[in-house]
Parts: sequence; C-alpha cells; structure tokens
Amino acid sequence: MNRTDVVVVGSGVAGALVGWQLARAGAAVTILEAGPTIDRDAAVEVFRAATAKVPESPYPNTAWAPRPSVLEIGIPGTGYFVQDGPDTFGSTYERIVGGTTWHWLGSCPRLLPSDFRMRTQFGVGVDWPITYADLEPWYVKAEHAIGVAGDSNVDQGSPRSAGFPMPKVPTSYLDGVVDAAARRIGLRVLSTPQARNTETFNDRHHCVGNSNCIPICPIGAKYDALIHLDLAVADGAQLIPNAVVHDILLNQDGTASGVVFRRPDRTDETVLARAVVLAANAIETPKILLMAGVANSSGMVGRNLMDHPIQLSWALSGEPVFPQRGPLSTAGIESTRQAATRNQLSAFRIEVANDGWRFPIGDPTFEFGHQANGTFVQLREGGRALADRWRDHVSREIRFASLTEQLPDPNNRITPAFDRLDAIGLPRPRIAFTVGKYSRDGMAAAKAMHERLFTELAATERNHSDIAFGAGHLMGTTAMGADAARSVVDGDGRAHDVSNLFVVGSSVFPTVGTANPTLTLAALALRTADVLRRDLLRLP
Amino acid sequence: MDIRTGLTRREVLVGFASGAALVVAWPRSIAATTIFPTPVGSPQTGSVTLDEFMALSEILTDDVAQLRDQVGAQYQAALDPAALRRLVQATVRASNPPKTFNDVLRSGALNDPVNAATAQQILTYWYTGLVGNRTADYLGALSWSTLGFAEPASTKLGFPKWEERP
Repeated sequence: MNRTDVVVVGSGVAGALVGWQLARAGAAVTILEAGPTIDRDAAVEVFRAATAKVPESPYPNTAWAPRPSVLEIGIPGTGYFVQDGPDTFGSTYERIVGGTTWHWLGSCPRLLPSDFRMRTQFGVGVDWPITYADLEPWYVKAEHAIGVAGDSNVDQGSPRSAGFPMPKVPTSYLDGVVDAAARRIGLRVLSTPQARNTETFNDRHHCVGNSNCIPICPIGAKYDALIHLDLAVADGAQLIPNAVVHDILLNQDGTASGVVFRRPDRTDETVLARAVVLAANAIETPKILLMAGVANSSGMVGRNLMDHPIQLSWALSGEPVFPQRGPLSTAGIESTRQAATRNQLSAFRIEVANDGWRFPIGDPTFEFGHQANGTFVQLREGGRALADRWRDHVSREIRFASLTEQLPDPNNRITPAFDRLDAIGLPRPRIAFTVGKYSRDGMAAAKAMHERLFTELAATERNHSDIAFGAGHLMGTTAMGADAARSVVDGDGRAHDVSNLFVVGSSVFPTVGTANPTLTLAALALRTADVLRRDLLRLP
Repeated sequence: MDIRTGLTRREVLVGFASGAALVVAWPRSIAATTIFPTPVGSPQTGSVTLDEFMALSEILTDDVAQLRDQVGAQYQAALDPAALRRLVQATVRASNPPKTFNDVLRSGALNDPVNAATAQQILTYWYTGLVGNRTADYLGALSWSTLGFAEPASTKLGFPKWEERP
C-alpha cells in the first residue's frame, strides 16, 4: 500500500501541471498513469513504418489501457468505445505517460470573455461559475508554464494582461496566400498562439519544421506533458505507469481516502492520500467516478459530453501554396468566433492548415495510392511528367477545418459499459452522442464561408465533408457550476460532494466556446493546484 | 544512380546491351565488388533480376529520385513474375532499350494492357512506399522526394523556411 499527500490520476497536461505544482510546493505526490511510458525515437520509427499516419499511429494500444483510434471509430462494433449513437463520437485520445499531448497540434487560443457567459449573453447553454477576468491571470501563468509563442500585439478578442513568453511562430507562405484572399471578403488570417518553441525555452529546442506535430514531434519542440512530469519527479513526485485506476475510496465522513488501481496482471493496489485529483480526460474521469459511485448526487457525472464538431473542407488552390511545410497549422481566422448570431447557431474558428490533405485524405504517401479510381498515376503515365503533375497537385492542396461550438446536452453522455469489459475486466466507455442542430447550423455557416474563401482562391476540386469530424477535444462530463444540483464540481474544480476530491481537465468545462481547449484546461489546472496547495495546509 | 560511378543502372544495362565495355573503365575495386551483372550469360529470357527491375524502375520514373535496391526488391517480390518478365522483355531486354518513360511510350510497349498495368503498379509502389499492407520505405517514397519544396514528415525542413515561397 502506498501512502501520499496527493494522488493524481492521469499524466496528461492537467495531471502533470498539478503534480508539478504540488511537488514543487513540498507535497508528497503520486501520479498514476493507465498506460506505459513512450520512447520518442522509437515512436518516430513506429510512425514511419505505419501504413496510415493517423494520430494514434506511433503509440501502443495496450490490452490493459486500450484507447480509441480514428481507424475504427466510425465502424460499428469495433474499437474501444461502445457507440450507442445516434451520431458517432469522433474524437480519440492516448492512454500513455504524457497523455494526448503526444499527438496534439499545440494550438493555444484563449476562450473569449463571452464564452463564459453564453446563457446571459446569448440565451443558450449555461454560464460558467467563473469569468474570463477570474481566469485571465491563470492564462498568463499557463502560457509561461507550457511555453506559448504568439503575437502579443494582435487582439484576438481575449484581453491580455501580459505578453507571450516567446515570439510568434512565423506564419506560412500558405497563410499569406489565404490571408490575401480572406481580406477581400473582410476577414483576416492571424497567427495562432502555439505551445511550440520559437527559441530555446525550458531547455527545449525551437521548432525546426519537422511538419509532424500530429502525431509526434520528433524533437520535443512542441510542448508535451513529459516536461512537467519530469519536473514533478525531480521534485520528489512518484510516477507509476501501467496503473489503471478503477475505484475511489471514501472515509466514513464522505471524504476521499485514496484510489485503487489495477495492474496489467489484474492485481489491484491501493494508494491512500489526503487528497485525490482526477485528471484522466472527459471520458476516463467520469468513467472512474461512475464505477466508484462517487461525487454524483447531481446525476450529472458523464453527462454533457461535448466536442468541437468540425466542418472540414479541402480543395486545390488556383496558385501554388506549398503546403506540407512547418507546423501543421500556424494561423486561423478568429473573428468568426464572435458572431452575433450565437443565440441561434454556433460560431466557429477556421483553422488554416499547412498539412495539405492529410486530415481528410491522408499523408502524401497514402494519398497517392488511394484515389477514387485507385492510384494517382494513370495508365501509360510516368516519368518526369508524372512527377510534375504530382508536384503541381500537392503544391496547391489547401484545407480548412472550422471548429464549432457544441452546447451542453445531458443526453450526450458516457457511462461504463459493464457488459463490455476490457482485457483486465474493466468496463469500456459507452457513449450516447448527438451533434445537435446548434452545431450543425454552425457547420453549415462554416461551409459557406469556406466556399467563399475557395472562390477567392480560384480553387478547384472543392470538397466539403458531410461528416462532423471530431476535433479530439473531449469536454464536459464533470462540469463545474455554482449549483451543486446541476453540476459536478465548483469553480475551483472541487467535487461538490467530496471536499478533498478535485477534477482537472476539460471535463470541467460547462460550455466549450470555439477555442482549442488545452490552454484553458491548463490555466484551470494551475488554479485548482493553487487551491489544493492551500487546502493541504489544513487537510488531515 | 550509382553514387560511386555517377552512372544509372539503366545506363549500365543499356551499355551492356549495346556491347559497350563500360566495366573496363571502372576502377578495379569497384568492378570487383559491383552488384551489377556481367553481360556474359545475362538471363535475357529468364527470371527478372533485381538489376533489371531497378533499371526498369529508373526508366519508368525518369530517374527523378534515387531508388534503393533494398526497397526495390520488396516491390519486385510483390509483382506477378510473369507480368514483370513481359514488361522487362519489352523494355530493358529489348534490342534497343528505352532510356526514358517517353521512349517506353514510343516503343509501344505499353499498348499491351498487361504491361501498362504493371508499369502503373511499379510507379505506385515507388511513389507510395507501400507494398501489401506494410511500409517498405517512407522517407524515400517518391511522393515526398518529387515535391522538391517539402521534406518527408518527421524530418527537418529548417526554421522558418515554411514562411518563404520555395
């Protein structure tokens, strides 16, 4: 039996930041991770050998910590999720040391002030129990902790009290071409704040354009949670991989006393702690709470699962834009996030991509051999003419992905599938999910905007997906709120029902705006860590 | 292209076919260790050798990028031997072997639908780097190396080259 001050369940960015902050403050910290550790160089080779370069391709899918994969997520009856529909939940994650920061893009926009007040300002969704102003100082701390590069002089709708810790990531040549087109219809393409080094920062090298942020940065220039896991361990934290938490222990007074985890050989072990922090993402965290039957007097654990359903569009620009170079996205269109019509339909954020058609079709090696009529090369075609035609094609590939806002819906939920167990006898996540009209209407508006941009770009071969792609953004399911009857945690991330149980990660978001969630969840995690640090002074 | 001699395999084989004694011009150490076949006793009607497959590949691609034997052997092994032999007979083993893809077209070798399909498959292998259900070569796949403006994903482009028009 292990005894500690704080046990942190999950080693992604939220768990790593909390573990680092508390270990640094002198607390005894144990971090439990369901999956194994990863060797970066070996994972890069696994990626190169994979036939489909999907986000999960470099990483193991272990028997004891299985995870979803985009290769099987839309195929009924396959994969880790038990999808009850009616729509497919299309986002995935990793269960490895460092979590999904291994394969995230690195985009770090902040939420807008209005995103915290959707009910008050637009009459939809709910208000957060905290405001943008409450979180703003923590945004600054998070940007410095994980290392965000950005343009401090450009207003993207989220007021700043301090500049970015690093100069912006240079925008791509492609961004410039799209910006020229966007300006003709009154839009601007702006540099995206990114957790990607533009100079040596935290002893890590700057980006050298390996063009592979998803699924793996070969040199660690993009932030990943290993940075803060290493710092936490250096400050005395214990990190235990291959430890699948499935129960939360309670004292007679209703406070938490620790957790139980299962090893790959199906043996169970206990970690006793003065406080418990769940940081296992918006699928695994509610699954643990529901398995344990803890912190759910509201009945809201697992409910209000949200994503940023994506309108994906791709085409060939009229002129070469030279994609497949640099970070996979360096800029986006932000003004559409502040649409006045948010009372009726979702706003959206347009991500401008540098990775050609990798998202909708695949890596160039895959794309060449997977055309509608078989292969890119025609019968009786070859030689230099083929190379020239291929080069011209790829040089003009352009892709937009608009992230829409999904409103909280209690019927969108994750529950443990006790009838569908994994290899170590634990329930897999059962998911009921509907994208919803609000988001679908936002996707339609985004599609129309993409079409206008394509026209300005004199684009051909225009494609608009009819599928709402997952953004990889798992949110909701343990929402924060002031009302304990309708939410799971308070504005500090503390469970309403269990005073020494905290939840960090984007599962606490009551609404999700249109910003990629990592920076916001990092800011919230730092804020929760500060509350818990003070709590430890008085906790038994 | 053979980095030791600057000669393509096609040039070597074509040289053999035309009777030129290219080998005598090579340094003795290279001639002694060459992996290329000698012209004497070359199996003009037998199974396709790796050298012949690589020569065919260089012709079909117009030498737009370096092709590696180790990778080519995997592609050759995945092809129907009879179909490959048929295409090689019509090209590399022809009395006046083609030097470029356009030469192949002009020769009429690809008017044969089997030959056309085989050539298409060979090019698909080299461009995708994929054979069967596995990757034979990612970093050397022609779908990357023919672009000119980009490097294969997971390899260094340089900071901040993406900002510039190549």
